[in-house]
Amino acid sequence: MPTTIDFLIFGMEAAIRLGSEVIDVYQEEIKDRDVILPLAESTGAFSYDGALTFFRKEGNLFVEEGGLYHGLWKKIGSQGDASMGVQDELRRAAAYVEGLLAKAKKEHPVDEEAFYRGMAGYYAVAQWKKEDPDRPRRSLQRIAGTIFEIGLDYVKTDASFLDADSKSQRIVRSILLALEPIDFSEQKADILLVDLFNSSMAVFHNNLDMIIEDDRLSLLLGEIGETLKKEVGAIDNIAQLMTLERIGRDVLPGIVKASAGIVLDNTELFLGGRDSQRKRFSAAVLKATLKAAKTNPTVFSGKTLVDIYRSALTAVGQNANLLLGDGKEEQFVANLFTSLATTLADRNPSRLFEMDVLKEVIAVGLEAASNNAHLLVSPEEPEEQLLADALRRVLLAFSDDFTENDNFSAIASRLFSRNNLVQIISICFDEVSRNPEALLRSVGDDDARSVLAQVIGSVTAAVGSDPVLLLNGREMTRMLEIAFEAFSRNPDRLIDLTTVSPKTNLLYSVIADILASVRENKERGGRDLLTGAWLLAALDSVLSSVSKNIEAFRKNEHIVMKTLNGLLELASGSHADLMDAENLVAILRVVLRAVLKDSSLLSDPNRFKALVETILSNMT
Amino acid sequence: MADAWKTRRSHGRFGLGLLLLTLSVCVGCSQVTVAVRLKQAQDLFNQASRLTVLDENYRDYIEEAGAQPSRVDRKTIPSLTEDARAKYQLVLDLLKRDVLTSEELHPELRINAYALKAFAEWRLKQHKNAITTAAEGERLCASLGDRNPRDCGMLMIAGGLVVNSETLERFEEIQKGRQGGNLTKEEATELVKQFELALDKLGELSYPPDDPIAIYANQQKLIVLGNILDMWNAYSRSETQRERAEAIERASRICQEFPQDYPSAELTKELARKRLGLLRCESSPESP
Repeated sequence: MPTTIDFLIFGMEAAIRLGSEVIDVYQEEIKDRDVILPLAESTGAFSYDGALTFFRKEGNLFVEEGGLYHGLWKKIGSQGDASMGVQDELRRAAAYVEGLLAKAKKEHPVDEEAFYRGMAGYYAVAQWKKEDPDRPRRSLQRIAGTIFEIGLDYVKTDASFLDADSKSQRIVRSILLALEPIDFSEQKADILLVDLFNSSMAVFHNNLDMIIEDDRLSLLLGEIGETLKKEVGAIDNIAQLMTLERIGRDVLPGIVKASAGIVLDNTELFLGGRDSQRKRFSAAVLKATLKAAKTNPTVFSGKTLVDIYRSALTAVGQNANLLLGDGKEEQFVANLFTSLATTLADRNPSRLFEMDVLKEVIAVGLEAASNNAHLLVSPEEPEEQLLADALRRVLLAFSDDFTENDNFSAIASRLFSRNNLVQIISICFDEVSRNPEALLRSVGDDDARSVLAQVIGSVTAAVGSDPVLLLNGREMTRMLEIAFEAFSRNPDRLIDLTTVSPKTNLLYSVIADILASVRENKERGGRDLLTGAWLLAALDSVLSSVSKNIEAFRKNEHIVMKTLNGLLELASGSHADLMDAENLVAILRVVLRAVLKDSSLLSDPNRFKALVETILSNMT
Repeated sequence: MADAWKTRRSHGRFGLGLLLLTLSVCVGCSQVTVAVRLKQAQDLFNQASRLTVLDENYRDYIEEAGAQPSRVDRKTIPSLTEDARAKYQLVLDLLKRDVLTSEELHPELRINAYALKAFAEWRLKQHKNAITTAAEGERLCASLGDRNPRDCGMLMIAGGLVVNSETLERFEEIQKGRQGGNLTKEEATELVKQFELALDKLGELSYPPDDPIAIYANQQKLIVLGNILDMWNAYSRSETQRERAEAIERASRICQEFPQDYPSAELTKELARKRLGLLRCESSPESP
C-alpha cells in the first residue's frame, strides 16, 4: 500500500501521467475542506428576551435614571409587555450598547477582524468528526492536494525534479518524511504544515548544494514541526490560531533557514541522542520565539523574531549550560525575550539603545545566564528576570535626567557605536550574573538607588561632564569594567545609595577629578601623556589607591586632582625628559598613596618634587 | 493574513495553471478541472457567509447607532448584504455552469456542490430551488453511503432553514402593516406553528450531537426558538408566559446536547444569551 508521500512524490515526478490515486487525493482534500455556514435568519441580533436580560444585567446602567435608554425602558410594563415597536427599539438598543461596551474594551465591533476574533462569529464546519474512522487521519493526508500543487511549481522550474533519485527528489522526500508524523489536533492548523513545507522547499530545494544528510534534515524539521504541534495543541480559540498562523507565515522561512545554518552545522550538539539536552534547548528557543511573538506582536516583527531566534540559537550552541530541568528552560528563555524587549521598548528614556539591538541583547543575556545559571536563574521561579532588572538600570544610567546633563544623550550618541552599547550591556549582564545580589540591590525598590545604576551612572555622569571627550566609546567601555572591578574590591565604600544622584559617589569624584586634571593640563598646553590606555591605567591605579584609604580621600577635597595636577606639571615642565606615560602612571600610584597619608605634601611643592625624584631614581 | 492567502492563492494559481496546461493530454484532466472550479466556489461561498454573519450580527447595531448622536464608522456595513448576495450568486453561477453539469465530477464532490448550491439558494431567497436542490442531493447521499457526513447533513437541514426564513418574511410583512402594533393571538399562533415546522425539519438530522453539522443544526435551533419567543412577545408577553417558558426549557435541553468541548462553543453561548436571554448554555456532564 503506497503512503501519502509516495502519492505526492509520484504526482510531482509525473504530473503529465497523473495517476488516479493522485487525483483522488486531490479531490478528497477539496471535498473535506471546511465550509463557513451562515446562521438561520432571526428577528435581530437580540431577541426581545435577550434584550431584556441584557439590560437587566450588563447594560443596566443605560436604562437606569439618567441612562440613554431610560425613557424607552419606562415604556415597558412590569411583566415586560411592550408594543412591537418598543420591542424592536429595545432589541436594537441592546445591540448598540453591547457594541459600545465592546468598543470600550477596544474590541471595535465594526472591525471585521475584531469581530471574528471577539465572538467567533462564524462557524467553519468540518466534514468529519475528529474521531470519525473515515476521516483522513493525518495532517499530511489532508493537505496532500495543496502540497501537490506547490510541488508542481517546482516541476516547472527544475527539470531534474522528475528524475528518480535526483537530489531534488531526495530533498522533497526527506521534507515530507519529516512532516508526515506531525498531526495537528486542529484541522484548521494544517495550514502551518503547508507553510513549513513551503519554507523548507524554499530553503533546501533552492540550495541543493547544501550538504544535508536526509535523516538529519528530517530530525531538524521534525523538531520544528513538533514544537508547532504543541503550540497548536495549546490553542483554545480561533484568534490564537489566527495569530499562530500569522507568526508561522512570517517567521517559518527564516527559522528553517537559521536552523539549517546553525543546527545542521552542529547536529551532534543539537540533534544528538534522544537525551540530548541541547535538543531540548533548541526546542525551548523556538517555543520562546513563538511565545514572544504571540504575547508582544507589536514589539516583535517577523524579521526581529528570526534575528532573535538565530542569535539565541547561536548563543545556546556556544553556551548550553542553562538547563533547569522540567522544561523550565522554555519559560525562562521566553520570559527573557519578552522582558528584555519590553524593557528596551518602554524603559528607554534616552532612546540611545534602539530596538534593533534586541537580538544582540538577548544573545548576550543568554550567554551571561548560561555562564552563571545557578546564580541568575531560580529553577523554582524561572519567570524571575534579573537581567531585565539589570537592563532597566543600564538604560536609566544612560539618561539625561540621571546623569544630570541635558546634553548627555547627544554626547552619548556621538561617543558610542552600536557595538559599544551592546558591549556595555554585555559587561553589565556579565557582572550581574556573577554577583546579582550586590549589584541589583537597591534602596526602596528605586532603580536609581541601586548599585548597578550608580556604578554605571558614576562613569556616564563623569564622562558627560567632560566637554572635550578624552575617551572614545571603546575606552569608555573599558572604564566601566575598571569601575566594576573597583566596586568589587571595595563594595560598600565607593557607592552612596543615600541619594539618587550618581555625583555623590566617590567613584564619580575620582573619575571626574582625573578627567578634569587631564583636561586642564591640556588646556594649559601641558604634555598630552594620559590618553587612551594610559588614562585608563591611571584611573585603575587611582581607584586602587583611593580604595585603600577612603577616609583621607573624603577629608581632602579634590586630592586626586591636585596630586595629578602636580605630577602633570612636573611631567610637562622641569621633568619632561624624565617622565613618560608609563612611569607617570606608576609614580601616580605611589605619590597618591603618600599624599593620602600626608596631604601636607600638596602644599609644599619642594617636598612633592623631592618625593617624585626619589621614586624616579628608585625606578631607574 | 491577506498576504498569506494571496501567497497561497498564487501558489494555487501557478500550480493549477501548470496543472491545467499539462493535463490537456491526460486522462484525469477534466476531473481535476472541475475539482478546481468547485474549490473556487467553496472559497466564494465562505467569503459570502462571513459577510452574511457580519451583516446580520451588526445590522441592529448600525441602525441604532445611526439614530444616536455619536456616529460609528458605517462605511463597510451598508454594502455587506449586497456583497454577500453577489458572492452567493457567483457561487450558483459557477456551480451550475462549470461543476454540476460536468460528467467528470466525482459523486462525492457532486454532493458537496449540491450542499453549497442549496445553501446559496436559501440565502438568495430562492426557496423553492433550495428545496429541490436539497432533495436531489439527499438522493445522491442515500445512494453513496456516508462519505460526505457534513454535506449530507447540510442537505437534510436546508429545508428547516428555508421554512424559518419564509416564516420570518411573513412576520415582517405583518409587522410592516401593523406600524408598531402587536400581533393577534391567531397570527402569533400560526407563525409559531411554522417555526415549529422549521424545528422539526432541523431535527430530522439524526447524527450524534458531537458531529460538526449536528452542532451547527442545534445552534440554528436555538435561533429558531428565539424567533418563537419573539412571536409570543409580539402578541403579549404576560399572556404567553407558559409558552415562552416552554420554549426556554426546550432551549436549555438543546444546550445540554452540545459536547463538552468544541470549536464554536463561544458562538453557542452568544446565541443562547442574545436570542433566548439564557445566561448559561452548558453541556450536561454526560454529553459526548
